[in-house]
Amino acid sequence: MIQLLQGLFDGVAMGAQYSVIVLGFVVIYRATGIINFAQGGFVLIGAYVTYNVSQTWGWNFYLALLVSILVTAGVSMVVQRILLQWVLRETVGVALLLVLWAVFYFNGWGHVSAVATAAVVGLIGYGVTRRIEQHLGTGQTKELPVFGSIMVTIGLLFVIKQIVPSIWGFSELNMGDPWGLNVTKVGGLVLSHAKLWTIGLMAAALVAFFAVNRYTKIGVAMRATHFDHEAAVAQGISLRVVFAVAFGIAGGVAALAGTTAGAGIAQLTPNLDLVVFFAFPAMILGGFDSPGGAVLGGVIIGIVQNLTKVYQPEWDLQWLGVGFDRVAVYIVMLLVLMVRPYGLFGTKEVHRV
Amino acid sequence: MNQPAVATVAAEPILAVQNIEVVYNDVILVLRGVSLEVAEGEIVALLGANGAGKTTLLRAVTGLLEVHRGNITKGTVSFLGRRSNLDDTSRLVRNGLSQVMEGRRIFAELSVEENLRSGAYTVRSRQAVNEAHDRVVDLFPVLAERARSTAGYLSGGEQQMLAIGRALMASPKLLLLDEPSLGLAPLLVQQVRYIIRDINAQGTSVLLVEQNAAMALSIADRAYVMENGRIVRDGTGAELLADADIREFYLGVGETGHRSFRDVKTYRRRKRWSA
Repeated sequence: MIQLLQGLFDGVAMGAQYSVIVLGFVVIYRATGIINFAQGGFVLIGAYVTYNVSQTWGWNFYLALLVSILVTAGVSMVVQRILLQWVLRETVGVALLLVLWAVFYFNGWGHVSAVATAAVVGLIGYGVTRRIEQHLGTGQTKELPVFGSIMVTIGLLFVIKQIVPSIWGFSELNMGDPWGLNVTKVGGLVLSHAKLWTIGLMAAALVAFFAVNRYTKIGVAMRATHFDHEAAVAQGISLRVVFAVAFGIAGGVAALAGTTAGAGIAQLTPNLDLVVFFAFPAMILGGFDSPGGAVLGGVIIGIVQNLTKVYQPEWDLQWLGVGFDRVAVYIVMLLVLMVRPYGLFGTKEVHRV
Repeated sequence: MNQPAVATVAAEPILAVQNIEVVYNDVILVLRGVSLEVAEGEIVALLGANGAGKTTLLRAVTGLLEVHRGNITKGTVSFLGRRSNLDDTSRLVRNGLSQVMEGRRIFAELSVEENLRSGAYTVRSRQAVNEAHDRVVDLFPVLAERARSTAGYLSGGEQQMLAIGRALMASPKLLLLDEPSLGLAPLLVQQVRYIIRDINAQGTSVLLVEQNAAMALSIADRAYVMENGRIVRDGTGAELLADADIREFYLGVGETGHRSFRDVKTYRRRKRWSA
């Protein structure tokens, strides 16, 4: 019994992190209709920024956490603006590709001349593409091309996974341990403070999100946009603002999850983003477009994973192999999808922007 | 034949559409040189059969063409004397151009109250929102009664009231209504008619797109008739109500009680009236 309760507690602590990451996916999906595969990258950025501010600069841990949330939210918004709004316009995309090519090609000339040449080449490319576009009469649209955007987010994940280690290195880092190994014992149950704090912080983030979503103007605008994108535009709701806020929220919660996942006994490595592989089944389980489903899905996945770890040795299931808990979550996801193909709380028809 | 009479617009037009051409998907030409004006304080009706281009014209005015891959390829739209072709909808709404879309398009998952508040998205001051809210609730008491219920559970008539109320939350100078009588019982159509008059009496200009020509013409100061992406007729509401062709094609009242087969055969040809 104690074992079960302990497994549940640990599971909820782990699941709370998944919930928050999934919330990031869901918010972006609801606003824009794309799945942001770079969410793992934001988790990584968040964790490393907290590390940098609290360890390298020696700030208070909670202050560092706050800074990290703000920074990651900002990065997420900027990336959204640049990559998903500009680059997907052919003119800017072509110009950037040319710049990249030119930087490498003319690298032998020294940095300054290479960059300058690249800028000139980029400008020429922009002008020529612009001309062709005008000639063909294809105007710019503000609509996000769904497939292209998703590909861009996948590319972004790889870019972030290269940039982060190039700044902070590949070795394991210690993010500081604000909660130590302190535990509170209730009956036979061992409640580690780190896990209590994780649950508390995640719960606070979720409550904050649901309050914003329910009571504020931007929350109403986001829900309206999700329900009927064109009618929302007709009310004067600015999609640009809604997109930016959605990416900001996703970045902020990713930083929070990344920090708690990398703090304490767990060491901080550039593989932290793999946590997203558990967020995916949680998102599908909860049903793509439901924030409530995101929370429940995350917690269920966390609990399943932990209970598998606890009971696998006990029930002589070792032959299933080490790390079977990671498979178990996908099995649960498949079982649920057989009964409810749209997830637990998903909308039946999937709308696209 | 019937040369469209040049309408005399007394005041400075609040909305002026000049000779616009709209193309969808870069190939489908939907509007071919449409001009239209709405003066301050007027109710202007826009009539036409399905596919005439009425909704497209509204989209061109409100900046929603983009959502449908449409483009204004020629001509200008100006709102409040300023060219607004390239403005985004958000800006137009802030400047005082609201619309009730065809088929109501309320946010069914949100509450009635939230629907109204979404209409006031562009309004910054809280006081202005509250004032607009009071006015809307005055006009539609039923929305106050059901403020907390989910909008999707309202009846069709109530949903139409909500859609109009939502558009009024931005306190528009010009209100565009796309088929507000669609799918409503005759009694409710009457009610919508009174409401449009009330709104107009409070100083909002109205552009009313309708298939229910009798209703639209009875309250319109002026009206335009569209066919095949062109304006084929315009005049005052009373003029068009009295017009023989309009009576036959849009009001379903023939001049003679009984039509012979030959008349039916020439119907199509006659319908290309001013071409």
